[in-house]
Amino acid sequence: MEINRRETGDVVIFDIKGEIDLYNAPEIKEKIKDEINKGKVNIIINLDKVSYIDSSGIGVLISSLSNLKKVGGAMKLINVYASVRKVFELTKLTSFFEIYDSEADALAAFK
Amino acid sequence: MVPKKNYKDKHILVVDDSPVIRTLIQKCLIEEGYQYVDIAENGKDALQKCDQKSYDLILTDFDMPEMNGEELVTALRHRYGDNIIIIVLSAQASKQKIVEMMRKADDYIIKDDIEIIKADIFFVLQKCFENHETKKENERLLAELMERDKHMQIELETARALLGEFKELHRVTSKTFQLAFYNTMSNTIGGDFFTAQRLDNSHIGVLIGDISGHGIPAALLMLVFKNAALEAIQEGFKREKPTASTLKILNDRLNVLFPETKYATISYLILDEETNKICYTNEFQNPILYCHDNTIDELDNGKIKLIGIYNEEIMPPETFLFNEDCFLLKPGEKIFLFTDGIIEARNPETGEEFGLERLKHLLLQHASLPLSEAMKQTLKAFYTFTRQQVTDDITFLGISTLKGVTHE
Repeated sequence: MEINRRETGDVVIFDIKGEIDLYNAPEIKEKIKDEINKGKVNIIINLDKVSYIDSSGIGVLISSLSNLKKVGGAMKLINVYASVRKVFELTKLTSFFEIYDSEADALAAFK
Repeated sequence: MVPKKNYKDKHILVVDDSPVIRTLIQKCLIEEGYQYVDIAENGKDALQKCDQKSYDLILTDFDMPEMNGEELVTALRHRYGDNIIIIVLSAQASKQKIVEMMRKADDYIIKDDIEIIKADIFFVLQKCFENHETKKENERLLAELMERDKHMQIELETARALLGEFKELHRVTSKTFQLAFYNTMSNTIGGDFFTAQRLDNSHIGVLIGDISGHGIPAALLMLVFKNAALEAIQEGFKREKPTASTLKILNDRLNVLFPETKYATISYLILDEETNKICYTNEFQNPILYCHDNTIDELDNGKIKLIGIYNEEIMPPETFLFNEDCFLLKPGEKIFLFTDGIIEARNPETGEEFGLERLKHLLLQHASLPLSEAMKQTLKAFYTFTRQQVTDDITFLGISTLKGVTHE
């Protein structure tokens, strides 16, 4: 898994590439924690190039969302496709996460 | 660049029948800084010296009287295996000879003239010492890894046995319901679990689920889960809407007990032996399959699916209300619960997933058979489809009524 960090205004965007599983999911959590420590609490996670997410990945996304909400921040997901979307639907995550089809829509939602 | 390691304290034996050559090489090595360099005049002499002292490296000529280099190399390998480094010096540089030498020795130096020997020898010695050290280190690491793996297997077996205690149904018997289950565990410990608990004289609680993750972490969570679940089952039964209440209690407990990224997906049913009523809350990733009147329904009233992870930052407490639905299980009808291991297994040749629809089709096809036989035939088809190459845990539970004792 690769994580690329970008910033647009006060929003931090993480482009994730590859598979999110037990072994690498904690890396995402740590990166979001680092952002919170720096005062960056508006996060977009781009799952466009994520082909697979397991239960550990789901757990990390939920706990990161919780950590951001605790400090008044928010996390939005973009480009949730195919098998990843299927997992989100099965686990009802579509009701708890703000999911957008494009980065522009997610950025607009922060304003 | 990593600095070269110093091997100047190694013990070296130079073997050559020419006094000029062996003395010259000894002198060169000592001048280079090697502290312990001995000489021998032929193979026999060399072996005698090896009896008296332990050498790290033998640098030997090939053509010698008494015992030649080839015989010496064979004897040394026989005695010391690959614990000694052997370098052969030879004036014969034919490809055939080099191949022969390299089969037993670690390296060779062509003995054309003394300048060439001088040029090659330090490089070859350094390389051989480094290779030997790397090889020995790899062997040590491999042995250590195998030992750790052995310990890990023992720990996994212990964890598996502990978890096995949570996968018992036979302690609960019923005059009204028949319960059957099939469970196999994969090489790694998965998070599947199921249990049946008698709640009072006429009620049985049946719980099936999956904890996120696998391996030792999942095993540890399972033990935490087991205590929380058994308490919640008893406590929830005393409340209104007992299956929904049980999952509410369990959700709240796991939210405190589990690490913040972990959760369980659970299906919980209460079987009423007096009325044949089954009430359920299905916060599991798979639906409950209800087989009746030549059809099969998916029962799924789940709301949050992931038990123990949502806290009030994400979900306000008032929304933590679970659904509970009930139905009567009539004679001849069956319900089935199953974990992902079944529907996500694939045919190794085509890569096709077994899938929910195939499972439903098979269960419907065998609907008229007794419960255990219906499950057996379905599993037979499953293992034929997967060519028995199943990597995940498999848990498959069936419930039916025993004819003639039903109260509608």
